[in-house]
Amino acid sequence: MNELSVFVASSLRDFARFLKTHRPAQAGILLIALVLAAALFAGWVAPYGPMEAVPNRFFAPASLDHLLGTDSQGRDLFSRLLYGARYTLAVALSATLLSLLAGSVIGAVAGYFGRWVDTLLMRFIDFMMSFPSFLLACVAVAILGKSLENLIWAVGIAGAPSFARQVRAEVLRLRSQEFVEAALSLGYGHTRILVRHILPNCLTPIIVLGTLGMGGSILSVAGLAFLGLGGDPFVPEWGLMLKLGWDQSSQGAFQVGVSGACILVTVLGFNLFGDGLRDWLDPRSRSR
Amino acid sequence: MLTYILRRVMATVPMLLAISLASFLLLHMLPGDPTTILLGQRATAENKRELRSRLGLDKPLPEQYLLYMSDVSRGEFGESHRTNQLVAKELRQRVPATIELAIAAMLIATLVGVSLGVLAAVKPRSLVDFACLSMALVGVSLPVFWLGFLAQKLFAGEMRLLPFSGRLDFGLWPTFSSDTGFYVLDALLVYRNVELLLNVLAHLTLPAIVLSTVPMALIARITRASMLETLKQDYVRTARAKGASPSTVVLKHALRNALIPILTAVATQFGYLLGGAVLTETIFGWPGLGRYVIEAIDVLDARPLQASVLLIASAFVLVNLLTDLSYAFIDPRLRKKEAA
Repeated sequence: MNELSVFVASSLRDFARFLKTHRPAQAGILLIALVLAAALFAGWVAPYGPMEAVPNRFFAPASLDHLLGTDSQGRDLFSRLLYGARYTLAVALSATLLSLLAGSVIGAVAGYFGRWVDTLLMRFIDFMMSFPSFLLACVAVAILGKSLENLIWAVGIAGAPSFARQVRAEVLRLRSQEFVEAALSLGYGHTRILVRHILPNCLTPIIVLGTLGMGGSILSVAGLAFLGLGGDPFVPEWGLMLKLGWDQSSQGAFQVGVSGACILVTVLGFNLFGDGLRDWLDPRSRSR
Repeated sequence: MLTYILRRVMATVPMLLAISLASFLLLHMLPGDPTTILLGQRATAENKRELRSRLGLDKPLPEQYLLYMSDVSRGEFGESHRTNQLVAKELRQRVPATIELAIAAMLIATLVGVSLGVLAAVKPRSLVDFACLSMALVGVSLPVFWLGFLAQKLFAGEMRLLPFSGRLDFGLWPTFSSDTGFYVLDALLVYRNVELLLNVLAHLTLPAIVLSTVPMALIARITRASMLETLKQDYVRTARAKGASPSTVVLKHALRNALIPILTAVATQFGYLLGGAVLTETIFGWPGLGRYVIEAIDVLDARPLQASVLLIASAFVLVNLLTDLSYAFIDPRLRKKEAA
């Protein structure tokens, strides 16, 4: 795998050069870093625990004790938002990775083997795509049961078809190239060619797809949680927090506002960064 | 041309069959025994036995599927155990509510999105262009339900400009009943009452605007990209050189040729809105199809869920089919290619 590490290193250098000229991507990285920092350092920065309730201080306004006030249970909103970054990112990341994994496997196999394998798999993908993906996720939760873990499965499954299509297109393009023919003539097996020769070449587009997919996953997870499909409502995930605030009508309005703002900032970060990555990969889209 | 249409239509048939099969199997995939799901928790053993034989749940699956399909073909979707109403009857109010909202949202999204995209492409790197790109980015990054909540708080709560939720102030029109389910049409054609119409439109405004954000962002982005591409073409330069006015060049020469990707985006988004308005409908208490799905999921109400899934996916497939067919009418070149 030495060639791969050289390839990754040179790609990273190239990307760093590109990044210097791309303002939106810089903004994206900044936002992502901010949220990531909140997630990583929540334990040190947060003045209270995410479940720690101060007795008799429900809906306290913002003060030095509670930077953003407290919620309906007397828990510090600022601390919960910090810990919330952990849950929100972890859930969305797992869902995106699941989509990527399932989509890549289906897309790669379909694109590489072609013929009836391709037809069969792509008909299946077409079928999955005949459902609006958010609806598909809702129905998946209905089948699996309401919980935060099942949201991962639901969003992951619903997101897989579009990845599969794009990975298939990429593999189709690579399949006809000479290095694949060379590997075939050397007598390498299909698995080896797919895993060692073709997939590493798809890595960059897959990373771009994954970054752009993160934004969508965060929104889907938050949306499903808001609909009450996220299970335990007291977990400090931003979508669940937003729902909790919404259920308290006017007293929870501030909580809805800040939780939603956190979601917006994070999704914006991933979309800005993802757009930048895509521009870097496809210079044709730079002018757009 | 005819072969193209035929081939495209034939390709949707297996898709629709697969969708019907999936909606049928949904009953067996939901957690728990189908009879418990259908009758709810209070069902007695005897009720369950009776239902089992009435629905043919003791028969083999293929036979059950045929029974299900014969029901569906007669427009029968069974009964909801939550409301004890016929699903077909409930859908007659739910589906028009969603279609009305989706059409309103798509009108806004298309008008604003296309205009913004065209203006941005005509003057790249201008203020309009920046506004277009920012809107395209923020539009897809916003949690819709959050935006809905903020809009509701501001325009309905603080400023009291627009109603909070629902489709109509039934307090003001207690006798209003809509046979078609399309309130705007009924207010306009059956009741012919301006005040009623305004009330209906006022209720429609906020949800439609909120729902329009995502499609608007995507349409603006695609219009801009497609127009930028077309404006670079030789024939556009020729038209300019011949002295055609700038607006003629942009609107008649370029926009018409940039239309196909735009149309695809509009149609796909419309398809999504037919089933994907769940969040907006929840915020604004809009009694549509999306809300229906969630209410059904909440108590594992199988029949409404099956019917909605079948309906939404079929509508989505049909919208896509119509889009593909409309290409041939918009772009004569596609017609020729097929004939040759």
